[in-house]
Amino acid sequence: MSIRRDVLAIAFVAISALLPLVLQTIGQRQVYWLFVVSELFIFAVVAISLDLLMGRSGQISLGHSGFFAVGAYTAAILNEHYRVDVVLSMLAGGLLSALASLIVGFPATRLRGHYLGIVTLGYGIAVDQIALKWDALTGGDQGIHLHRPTFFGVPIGSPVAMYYISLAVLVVVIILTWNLLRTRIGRSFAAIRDSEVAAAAMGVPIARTKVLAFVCSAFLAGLAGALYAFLAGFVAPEDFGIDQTLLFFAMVVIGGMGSIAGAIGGTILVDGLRVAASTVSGLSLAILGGVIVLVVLFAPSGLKGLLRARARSG
Amino acid sequence: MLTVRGVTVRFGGLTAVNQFDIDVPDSGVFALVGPNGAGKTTLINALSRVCSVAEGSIELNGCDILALRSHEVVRAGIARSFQRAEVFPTLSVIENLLVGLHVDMTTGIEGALYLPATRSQERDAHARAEELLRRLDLWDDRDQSPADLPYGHQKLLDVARAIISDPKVLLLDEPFAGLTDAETPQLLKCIVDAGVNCAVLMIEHHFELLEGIAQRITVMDFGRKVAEGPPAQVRTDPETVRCYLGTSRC
Repeated sequence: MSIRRDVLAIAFVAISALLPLVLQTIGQRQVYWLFVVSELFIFAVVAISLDLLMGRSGQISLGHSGFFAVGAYTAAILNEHYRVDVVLSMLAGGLLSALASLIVGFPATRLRGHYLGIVTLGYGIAVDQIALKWDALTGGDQGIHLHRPTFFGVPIGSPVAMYYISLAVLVVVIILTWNLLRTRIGRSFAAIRDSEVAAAAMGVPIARTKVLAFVCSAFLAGLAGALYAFLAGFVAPEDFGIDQTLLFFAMVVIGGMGSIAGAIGGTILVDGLRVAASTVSGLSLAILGGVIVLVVLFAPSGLKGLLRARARSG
Repeated sequence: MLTVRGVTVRFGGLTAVNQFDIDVPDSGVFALVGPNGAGKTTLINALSRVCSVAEGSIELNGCDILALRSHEVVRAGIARSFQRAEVFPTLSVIENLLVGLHVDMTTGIEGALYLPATRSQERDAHARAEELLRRLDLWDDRDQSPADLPYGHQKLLDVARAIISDPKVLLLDEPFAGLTDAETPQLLKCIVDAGVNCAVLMIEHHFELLEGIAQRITVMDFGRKVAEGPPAQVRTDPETVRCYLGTSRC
């Protein structure tokens, strides 16, 4: 990691860590803003997970809200119905989501491009519909309310506690993803994206690596989903529809694929726009769609590409 | 010893390689020549399991190569480069070489934790890659994207990535194509050095260049072997002259 990137990373964590204190000092709508930024951290984890799949291994996913939903419902059901601890519920959410990813991971070994996009889209819609129709397990359109999330017996429902947990999870995910990408498996993801025939000639098992990319990506998205369930205190199908997938997709594309910083930057921009546009009733998705079109037209490499071009010219 | 017997490759109604036999000893430089469309690249693709073989057998020291999938061939000891440099543009030059060490390394998903075992393996792999980069004068390019390199350097990298896996048989598909006169001696030395420890089977059109390094040249035409022997013998072989070298009208 370059020194400049190190400084940026430390500054990001320091500012994020101090934010609750700043909000407390200002004293205005602290709970609301803590929720908004915590949600942003969680979405950043999903964006990183989607970038791992799309930006790094070159596979498309139009159903990432499905992985997010599996994690959220798993954690909600385990915590609310079986009183399973928050950390274990989150890990279970990630693991079940990873397991569910095999449903699309195996077709991914034979499909690519638009065809894989359609399979993943179908998966996302199917999960959404299952959440809606399987009342006994998911509560149907009533969803599941989480009442008493605990961390080893200690209640952690406060907005400040959830904020710091979300930040900690994001930081850990960034470190783990960074490590993965600079070691053998991360390089094999990039190799299969760039040239499958050359990757195979170097001994990279193409099918297994593609499935592994799906599993890793889904684990992180599931983990984020589980955390989201605890943050929101409520899970319902409306949080995991196609518009949510579009949001995640936009975060990665606008940030610039193939970059953790890009995924985080894209999340800040897209989620910031979503929050700002939510005041304009019914138009938030339209505004977001417009921004995506502009980015694809004028900055196809996203924020990452813009910054790199500026650095080169400067 | 790589033993190829009766290998036939068909694409629909076209027979690209037809009942081809070749023995490649454990070390030395061996060449495949022939006119365009003779089936040379298809043969290399068959040996590296990139394309299916309709008939015949391929064995490396008794190991049935045809029983392997394409990604398992390098573990058996066969590495290859490509006619058009198939580098990984989103990885740096050194990372490209590290992909060449994929089968020598064992780090899996636990690499995310960057434990001491992973760190040590990465350090060793980097040391091997850096040594090769220095040897090939690619050191200054190590952190660049291969896409930003001149084509000759990309070809060098493509060959280096095959060499770093320490193969028993190195298959090179026109390694000198696109190289400048300045870059050629560098790669030439690299190939000759590689031929000391392993067998190099290369496709090449520069006959004069092969005469200096190849122990044996095999000539292909229409998927068949039409001549084989030391360079001096093959140069005067009537079949080689007919189908490949041609005759001067002067």
